[in-house]
Amino acid sequence: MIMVTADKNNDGLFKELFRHNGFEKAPTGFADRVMDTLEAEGSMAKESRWSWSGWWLWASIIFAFACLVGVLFFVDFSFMGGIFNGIEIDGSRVTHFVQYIGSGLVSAFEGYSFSSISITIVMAIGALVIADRLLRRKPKMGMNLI
Amino acid sequence: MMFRDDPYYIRLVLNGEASAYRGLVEKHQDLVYTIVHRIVTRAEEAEEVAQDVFVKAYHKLSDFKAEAKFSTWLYRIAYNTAVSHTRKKKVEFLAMDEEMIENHSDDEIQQEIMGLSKDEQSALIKSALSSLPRTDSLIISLYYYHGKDLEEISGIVDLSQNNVKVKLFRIRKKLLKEMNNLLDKNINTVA
Repeated sequence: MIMVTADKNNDGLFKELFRHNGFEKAPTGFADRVMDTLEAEGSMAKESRWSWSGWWLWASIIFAFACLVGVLFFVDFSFMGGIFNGIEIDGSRVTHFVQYIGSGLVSAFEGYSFSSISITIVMAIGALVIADRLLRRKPKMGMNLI
Repeated sequence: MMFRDDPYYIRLVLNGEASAYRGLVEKHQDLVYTIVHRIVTRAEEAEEVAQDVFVKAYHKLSDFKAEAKFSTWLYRIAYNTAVSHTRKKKVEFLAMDEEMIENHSDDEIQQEIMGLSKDEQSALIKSALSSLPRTDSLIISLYYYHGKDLEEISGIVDLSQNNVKVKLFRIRKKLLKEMNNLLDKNINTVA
């Protein structure tokens, strides 16, 4: 028999009644089944997943950037004119075509003076901004569970 | 079993250690299952819906705001998922016919219940709970059995704290009178 002090809301009675009664418990192995479901989903998502957060991605970006800087500032492109000598496209000599592109680019920036360091800094900032935008995307939850 | 704080597991999961989610499942599985079972009632369906709750919560974990309480957020998902499941299945929520309630004083009813054995009390309260509307049964269980406060219950069932307080008062009355009805029926059956 339980002893309950009478109160306006019968609070004591209900506290006693609920205290002595076991209620629902999740079935045995419930957590395993949840994790299995998630793992099954994760392995399916893994096939189409491409992570932006791996160290190798950053290494690739830095390597690609270094290559770009190397190509832009340390390779002499004067040999390009000689490569296409004698080839004609639509009646024009390719040598002239390449020269037009080169001189066009030069004239576009004529009057401005850029040092290689300032161009490198601007490009590095640009690359970091782009990488940051990409990495800020919401993380996908379909990841490996093991 | 000892568990760590919810933010610990959440941080691990969001950092890519998805297996840490098991900690959250094991920590909250009983209450999630209780909430779902109170609304869905059939045990097999309740397990399936409770699993959906955890899968849904896992996918939405990156949306969870750290300033909120994870348990309230999770139980709210459980409640909403269970309610929408019953709507899909067009299960009618039980409503107690208050006209059927006989007019005895609370003290009389309480005395009668106090005279029962623990097993009889257990059967009585379970039976009375099953006659309540499902959300009411959930609210009173959260309050008395799981020790949740008004603030957390209001967060789970999406009612104001005042509303929950008024509801609790009415549920207690209903439950008490339903238990009295059940006792009367038993006495009449024996007689």
